Amino acid sequence: MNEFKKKSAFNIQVLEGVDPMSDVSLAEIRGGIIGCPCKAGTLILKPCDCNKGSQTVLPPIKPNSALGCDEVQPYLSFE
Amino acid sequence: MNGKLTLSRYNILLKDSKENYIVYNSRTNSLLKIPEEFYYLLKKETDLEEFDQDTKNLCIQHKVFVNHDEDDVFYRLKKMEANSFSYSSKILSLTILPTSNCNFCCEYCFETDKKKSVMSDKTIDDLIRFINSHHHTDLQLTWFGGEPLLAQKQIRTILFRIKTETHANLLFHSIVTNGYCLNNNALQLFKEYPLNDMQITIDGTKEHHDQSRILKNKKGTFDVIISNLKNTLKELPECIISIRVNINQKNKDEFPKIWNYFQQEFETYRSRIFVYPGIIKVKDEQNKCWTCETLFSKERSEFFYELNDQTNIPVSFYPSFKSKGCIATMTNGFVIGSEGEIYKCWSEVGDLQKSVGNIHCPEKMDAEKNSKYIIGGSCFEAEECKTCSILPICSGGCPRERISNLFEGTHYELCSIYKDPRILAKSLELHYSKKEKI
Repeated sequence: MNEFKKKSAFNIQVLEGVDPMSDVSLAEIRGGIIGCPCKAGTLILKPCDCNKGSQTVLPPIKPNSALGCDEVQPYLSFE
Repeated sequence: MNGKLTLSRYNILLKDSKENYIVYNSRTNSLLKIPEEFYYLLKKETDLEEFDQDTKNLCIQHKVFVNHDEDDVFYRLKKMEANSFSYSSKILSLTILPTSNCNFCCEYCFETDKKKSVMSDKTIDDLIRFINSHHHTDLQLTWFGGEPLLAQKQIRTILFRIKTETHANLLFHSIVTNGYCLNNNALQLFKEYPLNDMQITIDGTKEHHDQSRILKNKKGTFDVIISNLKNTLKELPECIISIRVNINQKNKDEFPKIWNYFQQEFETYRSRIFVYPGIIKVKDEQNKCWTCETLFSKERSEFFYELNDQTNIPVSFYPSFKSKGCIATMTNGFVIGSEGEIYKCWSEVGDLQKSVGNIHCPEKMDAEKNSKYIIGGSCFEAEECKTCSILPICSGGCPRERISNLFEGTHYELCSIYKDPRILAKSLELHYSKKEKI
């Protein structure tokens, strides 16, 4: 450990940064839930250019509208 | 930051198939590629204060290093957020069955043995009273059945009376329909009361669909649904349509065909029509667990890996934060049956044993049953979730299955697919490999 400490920073590459939706204060804009996730399924939206992050929504909710972004580019959710 | 730095419980240290070392943090949903030496130092739980300041700053920013009690504080905040959602009085969320009748006879339907009826005028009177007894400004509605479009008259009456006899602001309404009765009358109704969202189920290609989603006279329904869909997209320009393609072990290979069919047939409407696989869960005879017809985590992940490898269907493998609950865990979320029965879950409609009350006498709501859903359905009540490294990207599974495990001795799989570190590692690798190619 001593060989590394305080010499230079490790070469750490950020592949994905902090998701803005991790901020609990943004929780209010995540939208409501209608019905049952199991039946409705989920769509994941491609993160849009406004850099406000991706959002998992249920189909009854218009994607990203709460974030003020109208771009809708659905990806199939892996889950 | 005060106190001693420690590794977050939300870190997952992984080595991918190309010998890359990565740390994923489910609290921030961030992903860092790290040197091998650093990986092993973290594995050995080295004193984090020993690292250089730049490394510490980066890791603190991504919550890989946290203050000793920071994860506990985060957990409390998430629990508070979930509870706020559950007990919120801002929105009344109703799923209404204007009828439990259906014009289809699908072999897998979970409502076949249930009593059939259409909502009566008296029940509609009590429904309006029920809405007015909740002093909410915003109302969310989902029309469900049976087949709700067999009761267009009732839907029209309810919408008119909500508009004229309640103070509720209809925030939006959606419908789950088989699509067969999307006739001109239905479209006129939803022009007058603009529908935000519609979900229609398709069971694969015409050949497969017409074998399972059939009318009572055994006639296929695919062509009528497609024709109705085209009219709907044209006549309801604001409506988003989700096409759920039911998938099980038998028909999983059909999905790319139907996905491509919709891409071509509805090319001009691609921004408003979304096709997605609905993984069917089939219960065993004792209702204790899922049968082998169901796609479990491993099969589900393989299904999506194959889509990614063999088709041009866009699949997102990167985790995302999961919802705080559903109608079952909301104190102001109810499923209203066609005879006024109140349920907490869509899949229990018609099963009077599961009913929590009735809108004809809402003051007699069964508090004990209600608490099972609202408290027992929450992952924040489960010890194993409290310290789980993927809690923020896992909603703790279906609340109904959770309470079934708790109170009825079932063994349903509740955890996210990412709970399996092999699946998480491969998913993250697929994600950043794609990005590197761009």
